[in-house]
Amino acid sequence: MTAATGPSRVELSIPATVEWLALARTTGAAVAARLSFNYDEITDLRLAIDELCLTLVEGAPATRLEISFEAVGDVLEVEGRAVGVGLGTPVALQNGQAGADIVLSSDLSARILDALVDEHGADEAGDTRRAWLRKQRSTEHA
Amino acid sequence: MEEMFEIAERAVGDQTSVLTVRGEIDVSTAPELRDRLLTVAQDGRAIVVVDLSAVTFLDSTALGVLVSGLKRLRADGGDLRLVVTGRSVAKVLEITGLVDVFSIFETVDAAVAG
Repeated sequence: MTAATGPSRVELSIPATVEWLALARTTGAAVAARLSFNYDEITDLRLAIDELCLTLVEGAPATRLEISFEAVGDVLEVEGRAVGVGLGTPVALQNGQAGADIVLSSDLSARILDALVDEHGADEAGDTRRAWLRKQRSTEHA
Repeated sequence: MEEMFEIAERAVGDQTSVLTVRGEIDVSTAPELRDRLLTVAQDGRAIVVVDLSAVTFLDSTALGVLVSGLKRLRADGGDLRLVVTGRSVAKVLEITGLVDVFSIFETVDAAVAG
């Protein structure tokens, strides 16, 4: 009960390349567990954070992703920032598959985020793209 | 950090191939699944069963690869069938509406039999 009442903010900075995205969702799941989210909610957050990161690397590639996780009452807020947008390596090239790239489906991502979190959004200013989500913890704690 | 990702392939008769996937399918591992799906299709397998029973994580890039594979196979008169037993994978298919697009089975045998 008391885990989420104090100030708790975790920040992660990773290269904006596909092999590092798993670290974002793993960290998010660990933070959610620490904040007493239940198993199903943690599973939802792992996927939602992954989709959030995909939103950030889709289109114009960035150089780094900066992701923060913060509990505000019963709500976990996750904010991701892609910095150096346009300066990184496109996902298709990272996968070594120029011309036959993996299609990042923003439509599927949006549907997943709609279903798994309470709020989410994205915006872009200058060379920084931002995406965020909020998910409330249920009253039934783990 | 992550579980080992691997894909095992098994032919069943002349027409069917079973791909058993283990681990997490995300933007870094989905290309391997796409390549395997392309290879089995090029080998003339009309029916491809993708066993997701041992998949612990699957995101929109994985779904994109599976949908592409499904379209390609169905265009040639074949099919891509999924074996899903895990709750998290079933939930992703449910919330994206893809549960109505794929033929989904609880066992490999049932999927092979169609």
